[in-house]
Amino acid sequence: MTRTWKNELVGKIPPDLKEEIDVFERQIARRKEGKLDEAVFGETRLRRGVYGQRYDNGQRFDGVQTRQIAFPSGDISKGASTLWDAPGMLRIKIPYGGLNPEQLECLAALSEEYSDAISHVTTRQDVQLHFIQLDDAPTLMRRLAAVGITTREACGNSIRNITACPFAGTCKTEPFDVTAYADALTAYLLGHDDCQDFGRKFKISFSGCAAEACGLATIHDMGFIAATREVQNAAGTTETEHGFELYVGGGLGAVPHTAKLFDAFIPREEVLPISLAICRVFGRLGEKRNRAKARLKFVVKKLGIEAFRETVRTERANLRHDPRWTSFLADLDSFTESPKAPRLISPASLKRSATNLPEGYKAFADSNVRAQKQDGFNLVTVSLPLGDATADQLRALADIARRYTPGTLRATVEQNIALRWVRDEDLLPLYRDLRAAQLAAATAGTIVDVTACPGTDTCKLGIASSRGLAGELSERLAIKNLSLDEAVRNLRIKVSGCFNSCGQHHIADIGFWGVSRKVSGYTVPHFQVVLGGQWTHNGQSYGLAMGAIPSRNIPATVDRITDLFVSERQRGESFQHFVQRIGKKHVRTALEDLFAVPSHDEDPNYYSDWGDPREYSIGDLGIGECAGEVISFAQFGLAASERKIFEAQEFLETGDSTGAATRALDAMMVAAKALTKDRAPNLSDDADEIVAAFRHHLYDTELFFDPYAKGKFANYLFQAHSAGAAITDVDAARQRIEEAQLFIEAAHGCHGRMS
Amino acid sequence: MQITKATARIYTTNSSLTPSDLRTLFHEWIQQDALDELLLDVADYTHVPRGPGVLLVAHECYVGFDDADGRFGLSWSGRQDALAPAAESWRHAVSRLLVAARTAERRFDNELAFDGAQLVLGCNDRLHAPHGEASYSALQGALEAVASEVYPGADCKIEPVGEFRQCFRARLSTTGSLGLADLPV
Ligand code: SF4
Repeated sequence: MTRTWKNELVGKIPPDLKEEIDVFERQIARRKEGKLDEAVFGETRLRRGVYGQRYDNGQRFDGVQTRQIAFPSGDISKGASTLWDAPGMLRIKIPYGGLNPEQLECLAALSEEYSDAISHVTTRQDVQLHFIQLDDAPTLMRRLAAVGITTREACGNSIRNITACPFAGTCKTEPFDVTAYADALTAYLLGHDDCQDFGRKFKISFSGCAAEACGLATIHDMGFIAATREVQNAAGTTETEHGFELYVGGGLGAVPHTAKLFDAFIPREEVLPISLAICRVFGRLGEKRNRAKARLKFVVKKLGIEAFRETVRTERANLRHDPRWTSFLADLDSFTESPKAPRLISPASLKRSATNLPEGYKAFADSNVRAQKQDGFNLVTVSLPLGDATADQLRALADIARRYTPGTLRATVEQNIALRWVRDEDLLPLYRDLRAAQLAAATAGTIVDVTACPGTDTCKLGIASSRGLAGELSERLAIKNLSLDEAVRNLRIKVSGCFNSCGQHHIADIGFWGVSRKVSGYTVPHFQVVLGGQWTHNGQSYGLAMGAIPSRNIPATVDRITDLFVSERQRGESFQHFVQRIGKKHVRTALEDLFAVPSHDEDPNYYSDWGDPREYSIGDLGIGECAGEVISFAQFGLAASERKIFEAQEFLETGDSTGAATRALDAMMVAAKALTKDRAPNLSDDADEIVAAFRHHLYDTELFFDPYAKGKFANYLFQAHSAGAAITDVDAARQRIEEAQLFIEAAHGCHGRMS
Repeated sequence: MQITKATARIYTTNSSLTPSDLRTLFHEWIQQDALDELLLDVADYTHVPRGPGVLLVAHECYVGFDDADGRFGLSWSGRQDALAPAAESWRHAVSRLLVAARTAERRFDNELAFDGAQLVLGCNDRLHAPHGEASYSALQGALEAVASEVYPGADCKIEPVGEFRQCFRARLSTTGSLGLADLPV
């Protein structure tokens, strides 16, 4: 009999997971036989964590022409426009980032056998394997299940991985360890009947404290921040009650929304039922048809936070009691990690080792090691370049975790791995072991440790190469890392391949997101520069876009910005304050020359992306037949609209929300007119006329439609036009600017497609 | 004995190629349909020390230049889960590897040369052939069969390489200096 992993693992997989994987395997077979609807199978696949990858629609631009990929299984699909044989990605949920050595070894083995020998840590503490064949997925799932991991609901319209501070339980600033709560909520909501009817994904996070960034609570649909309060117990004495500050409706994405405070204190017994009540409200009131409006933030916005609270409380009151709401509280202690007993080491020997430090150790200790709240123990962050680790490195980390820790590791939202409970006296040998595994880069939490989403490497929606850029920046910055000014060294750079913000560019000191521009008939990769986002305080405030700079000029942009910071910074000033103080106009002036794109003859490098020698394209590249440089009306108009957006940002900086909103609307009008004029030559400057003409010529015909976002960005224009200038609120003005920015990007995209 | 996902690897004797050269090479191969495999994409992991380097992703395999085992070389690694006799799988892997190596050598002329006196064969298949003594004994016949075809009439040393937690790997080596042109396969 042929051996299979299914047979080998009999009795080693929890029965519920086994059943689920068996069902998925049957669904794969049924889909192959044509007995399961494509759309149903597509969503099922996603909810099992099996995601699409770039080129899975069977075509690819090879640098010269777009070619069809003749997969052996032909046209059979695993979802809309997703061919069966095309390699995909498996997203593996790691709740709160918690991993043990056996799980690391399993990931290592799977990456070698089914992927490209790389495990990729994401910004939401998942692990992703790329280039997976769908037929292999059930086997991967079984092997993961055998070490206690599920991929269920890692993708699709479901509750995604529940994240938490990687330092929970050890961090000095937390009032208590949030791990048990993240774990209990994960188990409670996984596959819950009330969470199967969402219009979009739903993200939850736990943070140990408000001031640090680790949990990023305020960029989630639901974000919990640990809190305590003093209460009188029945005996009349005061005791400390554990609970959470709860935020709702946060999210980055195309238009970032800061979460709203739902309740300043949710008692711990209420964490599960309140969460379920919110999920039920989202399931009932959340948008289902229009994906662009289907996140919780839109429900909160539509109802207003007060009415949302009331709706949730009514829902909560109607829930039937479930013993799981509190049963996990009896097990809180099981999450307390007990370190191996501290080893006694003589002061003389400690002193000896302190004077005999290996090369690089000091820098490593400065950036990658922080003391735990427990005396004598440390958290050590292992930097993974771009979140990537080889199978050998994962096995080395498993060995290291067994040797120096109680066997607990955490994936971090900065795409690294944190080792916990490392004794003071073990730091040196640990460092030597990490060095041997090429894992001792002294870059954790520094400007060198650039975060990036997959971008055009593997993501279907990627516009520019976020990983290519991040790799280039890291390499350049690493060379001068130790000589960088301290203030610059601690800045965060984050890169997304498109407006969807998976790289979390909005909350970086220096953020970038990929866009494209048409220049003399060529499409040129660019990045929007976003400055002054806030990483601390759970990612509470977002940076604003400065304009799009050609991808090739981004390293120079980083140099320019950091030099400016060093030379003009006031004593002790943060980057956010610095950007606010000197103003975006000043920064923009300093970058002015970097916006220019040399002609193709002068420097063809500008016309390809980082790490990709192909002539850059976002689809079919068309070269105009002009002998010289001809700038169209539309191009001028689009440039003017960008100027207006910049002015809107300046209004916002001075606190003039109405002025900012008006200017942002103007910017959209200018862009809309620029695009439409070709088809309506007599178009005036009257806003009603522009909107009507734009709707008629470009929206109703779907010419303006983005291939993925469809008409979403046009709706920003329509909504802003109806709302007019009646905006006095800073958040609303900021949102209008963000939306206008996206509308203008879409206008560039449309212009590119039409020209 | 049957295995899936056979691998074959050959080392370079000299290479001054940069990651950029290798990316360009693989993109060219896709444009030109330079190999018989269905070529899909290029992945670059040169930012990861001792990682998979620069990979050409095909439907059937990965073809990659890397220094994952400490020495720079070119690998052909099967991607599809197709169980077949080990000798047959390795014959195929070696022949496809050598086609890729010869194509690369031609493209870079004097900048790239391979060491034909050593090959590393293996499989990314812990189910049928986990790395270790038992698999090595069971697969020795298949390794010898392939060795006799690659190095006919020559003494060939065969030995397991790498640690046993890695995937199965065995080195075939013969004495003397051999280039690709000297290999009859
Ligand atoms: S930000 Fe865009 S390119 Fe990056 S992973 Fe998300 S959708 Fe893909």
